[in-house]
Amino acid sequence: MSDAPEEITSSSHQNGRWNLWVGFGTLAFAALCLLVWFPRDIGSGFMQQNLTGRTVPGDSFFPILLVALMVPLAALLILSQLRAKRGTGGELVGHISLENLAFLGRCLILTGASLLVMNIVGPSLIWLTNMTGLTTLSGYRAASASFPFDVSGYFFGATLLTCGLIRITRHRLRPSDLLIGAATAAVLILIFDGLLNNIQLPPNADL
Amino acid sequence: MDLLLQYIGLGVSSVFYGAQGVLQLMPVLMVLIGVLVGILIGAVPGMSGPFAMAIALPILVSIFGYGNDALYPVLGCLLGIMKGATVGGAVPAILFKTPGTPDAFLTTLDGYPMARKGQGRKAIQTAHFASVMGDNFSDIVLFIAAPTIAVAVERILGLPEKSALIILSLCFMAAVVGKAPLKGLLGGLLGMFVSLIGSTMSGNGPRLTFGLPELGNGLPLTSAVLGVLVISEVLMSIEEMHAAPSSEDTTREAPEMGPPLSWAERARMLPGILRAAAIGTAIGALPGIGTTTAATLSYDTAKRRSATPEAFGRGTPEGVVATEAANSAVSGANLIPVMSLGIPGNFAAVFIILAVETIGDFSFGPQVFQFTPIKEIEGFGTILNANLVLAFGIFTMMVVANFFNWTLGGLLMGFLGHLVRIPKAVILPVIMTVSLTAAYVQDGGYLGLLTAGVFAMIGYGLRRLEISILPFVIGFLLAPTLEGLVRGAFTASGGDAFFLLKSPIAIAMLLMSLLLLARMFRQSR
Repeated sequence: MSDAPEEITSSSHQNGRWNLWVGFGTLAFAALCLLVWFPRDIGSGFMQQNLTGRTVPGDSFFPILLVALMVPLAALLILSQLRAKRGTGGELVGHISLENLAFLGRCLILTGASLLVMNIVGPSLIWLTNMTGLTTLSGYRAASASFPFDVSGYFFGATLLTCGLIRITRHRLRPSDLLIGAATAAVLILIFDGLLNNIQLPPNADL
Repeated sequence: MDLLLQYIGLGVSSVFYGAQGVLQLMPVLMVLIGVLVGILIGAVPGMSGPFAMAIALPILVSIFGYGNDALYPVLGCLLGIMKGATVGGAVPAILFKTPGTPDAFLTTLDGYPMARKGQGRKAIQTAHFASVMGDNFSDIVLFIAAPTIAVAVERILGLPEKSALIILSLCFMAAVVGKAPLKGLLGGLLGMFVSLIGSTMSGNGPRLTFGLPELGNGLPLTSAVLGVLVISEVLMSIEEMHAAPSSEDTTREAPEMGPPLSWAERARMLPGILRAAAIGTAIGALPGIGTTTAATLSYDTAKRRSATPEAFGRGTPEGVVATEAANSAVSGANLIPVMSLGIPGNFAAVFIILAVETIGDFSFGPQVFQFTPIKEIEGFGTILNANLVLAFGIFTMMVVANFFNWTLGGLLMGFLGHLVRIPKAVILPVIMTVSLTAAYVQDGGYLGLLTAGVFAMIGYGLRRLEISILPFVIGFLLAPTLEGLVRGAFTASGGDAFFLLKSPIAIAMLLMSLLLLARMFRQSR
């Protein structure tokens, strides 16, 4: 009985630090913007003179105002966290755990692998058909507007992405899920490549 | 009055006749498709109207392009989805206690017990009748309120007051959305800041691009919003399902449907519908307050005013009426701040604004409702406010969508129960693939995809840190307008540092913003 509340208090206290991190992170971001980023990456200052000699706001005017407004808000957030009253609801506290980052990493790897498949299947198919004498194409670029070469990469990549995500969600993959993945890719190909003109599916817009 | 009728007539005919006076059915067809998609999507658990609008927008832009001709078909479809989804969400809530859309959650309280008592058909027809009536009511309020507010705003408010109004709206939104208002406001400022990447105001080249020429035209808007709103939400849901996999029951049988709703019963519901619709409309007109608040408030009010409050929660049609009429009334009312002020108040409105920003040269705001006298000038053409004609065209499409909701919605609702069997574990990955493809297709290849990915990470981070997404997105969309207003006001004041404090109205609005900030600080301790 006594252990549970202590765990909860300790956990929420520990999690409460995330609001402090958000506050301090915002202050650090504001300092970085004002001292490093803005001077190097904005063409004109807070104020500038226009062609008629009149002083008007420069390109830095609004970004500086925004960042300047972030500072008191971040200070209020830090203050509210440091002076939080015990037993009151207060500002809701979130957190990002290592498990969350691992999940995001897994999704990124899956998306990256799917894009890789989209990029290599088309050229591989060309190479295969050239090898077997079915085609004499110079490369993927030459066939990037011809069916089925233009959509082959997308078909396999999109199927992999859908099935991979179903696998993550369910912890298993059924044969019917493979069909769903393939059907999703096929329907998207039908819509974007079959019914619409001037639309290019991945990776064809970036050749 | 004549001028108003002339503009209404032009607006109505512009939906049905093209620029050359030729009959065009595409806008109406797209409204029909939108309503059908909306009703179907609304009935699928895990999906919602804004979700479908987010995915549909890039596809629609790919089909119809960026010209002014695309505006009606694209907006027609999006409005249809928005309205259709309000109807469809009730069916699985009633039959299986599984709300199709989040706002249909309260409908389960009385709808499901009604279905268990063998009154499934009556509950569904009650939900449909109340929902469409509520939606119609709020549309009528929109048609009257939006032009009235816009005309008043244009007459009374200058640049400083309009700037102060946007600041007040953002503070209000942060204060009412979520349980971390200070962080919500910080999120709003961050959204504004991010939208400045690649933009310029004084011809000195694009800002904040890290030297990347690809960012020189600014961030792709649709991909960014798709990433922060849809993909991040899908990621969160997939992660939750991954952490706690549940065996999905896809074999649920629909309960006994029972007798239909009679016209006498419909007539008895009208006072309750009007009360709920009024609550939904009032709530919907305020930025940031969603359908759930409207439904909760309406349900509580109906229960308190009922002669049989003990029947609530045990399967009374009054409960279904209270929630469905209120949450559907929000959809029309949330376009009041959009059309009159250009300020979106919820996610559905975000996608309507996004469509308008992406396509053609129309933009929402008080300037739309300027009743310029219509004059024929020989050899030149007709002088009129084309934006006002478009606005009345949009109203017309909403009426058409309501007609389809009345007719097809009623027919379709009886067949939607099967959609609850679509497992969320399959639908979420499919949405992810469609979203990423749409981002690539619409926004120039990998730049669009990368933008969607980066914004998905931002959205995921914000959600995990309990920072509301809505102020971030609204800030992101409103930043260019606010920057233009603030710069204009500053220049017009002759470079006065207190340029926002030049009028009593602006001072009052900023004081209210400060009061909201003080309230947020007090709440946060």
